[in-house]
Amino acid sequence: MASLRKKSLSNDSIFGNCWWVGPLFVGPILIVYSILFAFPFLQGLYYSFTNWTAINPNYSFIGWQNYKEMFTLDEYFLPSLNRTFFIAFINVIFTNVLAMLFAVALTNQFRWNNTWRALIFMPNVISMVVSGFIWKFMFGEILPKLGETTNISFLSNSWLSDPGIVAYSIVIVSVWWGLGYIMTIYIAGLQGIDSEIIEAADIDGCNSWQSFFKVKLPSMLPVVTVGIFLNISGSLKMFDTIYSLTGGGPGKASEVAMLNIYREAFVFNRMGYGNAKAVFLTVIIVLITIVQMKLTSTKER
Amino acid sequence: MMAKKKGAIVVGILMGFVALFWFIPIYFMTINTFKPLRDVIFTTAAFPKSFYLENIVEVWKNADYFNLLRNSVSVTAFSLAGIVLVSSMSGYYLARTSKKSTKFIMSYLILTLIIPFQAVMIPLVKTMRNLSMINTHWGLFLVYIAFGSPMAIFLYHGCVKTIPRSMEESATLDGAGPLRTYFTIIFPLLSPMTSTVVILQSLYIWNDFLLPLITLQSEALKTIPLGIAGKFFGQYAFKWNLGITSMLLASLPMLLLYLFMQRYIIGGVMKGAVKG
Repeated sequence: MASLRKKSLSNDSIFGNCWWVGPLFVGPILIVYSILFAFPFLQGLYYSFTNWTAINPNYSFIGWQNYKEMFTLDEYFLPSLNRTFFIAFINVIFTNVLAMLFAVALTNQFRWNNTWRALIFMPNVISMVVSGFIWKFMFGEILPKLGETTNISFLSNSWLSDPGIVAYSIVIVSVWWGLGYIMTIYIAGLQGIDSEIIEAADIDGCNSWQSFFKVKLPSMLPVVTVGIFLNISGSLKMFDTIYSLTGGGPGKASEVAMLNIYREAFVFNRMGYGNAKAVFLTVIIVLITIVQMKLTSTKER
Repeated sequence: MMAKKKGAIVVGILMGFVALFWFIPIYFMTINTFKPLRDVIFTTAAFPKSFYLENIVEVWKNADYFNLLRNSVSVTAFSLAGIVLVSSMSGYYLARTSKKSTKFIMSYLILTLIIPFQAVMIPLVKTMRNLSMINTHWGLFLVYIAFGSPMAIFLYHGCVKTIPRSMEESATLDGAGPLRTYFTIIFPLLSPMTSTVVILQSLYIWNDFLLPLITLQSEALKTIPLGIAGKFFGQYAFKWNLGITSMLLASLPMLLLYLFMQRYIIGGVMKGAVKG
């Protein structure tokens, strides 16, 4: 009897013979997810090979033509893609290096550190669209005026109207917005390190640099992997901030891939072509994140 | 040891400047809310001479701020409730079964973490239109459930694994069905994870812009980021006093919440990262 009872409770049988538990517990999300995520995704792959537009409901299969157009005729898409990489690259470097630096600084014993951490995280609770607007005000009104009064000509840059500068202005905003989140993750990582390991390193005479690069960083690599992953995919998908900060301007000088795709599909109504671009961007994002995951996880071992 | 302590103080003070620097944009936004247009243009960096409230009154009325706020609250609240219910139940079920299908479902759900939103967004609008979900709040929150749940399921899945089976087993032997076991034993035990999920998802849903932008057209349904942005591009262009006031009003609910719940919000982000 005892053995029978034990058997009936092992593994799946916590739910006894109730066949309805699975469908009830997992069914709803599977249905919603399939209809609103998986199905549109597959549809998108198909549409990228069609000439579907919002104006004409009859569309037909046109093979690789959209993809060809993207690389040959479209004078804006490839530059927008390059710009996305450029902005994402600088953004990821700055955000992660500074976030790590601040995280190390804020895990020291200092009375005000929690307040500093809270202030640096603060932009993250504001939406990115609003951040873009706030900085439009900063770049347009505040900084030039501060430049006048302090005579620092650097502040009076034409931050948003100079095509050579605008990319850096965008990076400033997105570092300001996103650094707090990554920094918080890194603080969690640093606090999760076994303090005995750090003490052992201290006793062995490691200086702070050695103890950071040889002890702390390696033992928090999983957290760093997550941080960089979130930051890379976020930067490649950047949309809200630029939509409000520059609208892609001056001219097309700050039009990133997502803005280009959004306009193609929802302003110019070329859904099929827009989808082809979206699929291409997706492939790139997936490839980059896979490479990044591989790189950081081989270092983990 | 002394040198180390001194070093910590110097670093602490330096970080104070960094934090101040981070706060500058929010500071300027706040002070300029209380100035008339002339002062915003000519003495932008100065502290307001008097406590000018006209901007707030004007934006409140003009943008129908109360309505935007109500929309944002209801979209966020319903989506969160849905995500918590659906994903804790499935996280629980998936953690307690070891069929072949369990693994398959997990990897099927993990796709959202890899495939970005834009790969889905154009056909999604079409699908939603076909199901008459477009331009409705319930359509919006079903989409948030679809996109937000997978992450939450993984967090719950990990959390359930740490709960010993013995409690459920004795409940089962006492004759409690799976639903009762879940609601009376498991769900309460998961509440620390629930608060993490709520914090992470509400930051994302409340502030989301792109999805409302492509799915909501009627003024009456717009959420705060969308409604405010529309006003900003339209009537408030060059009226910086009203523009910057609407920015403050747009961020105020979350800033206030953050002021009181700072510890929990940051704690939630930390836990989400380590567990994820």
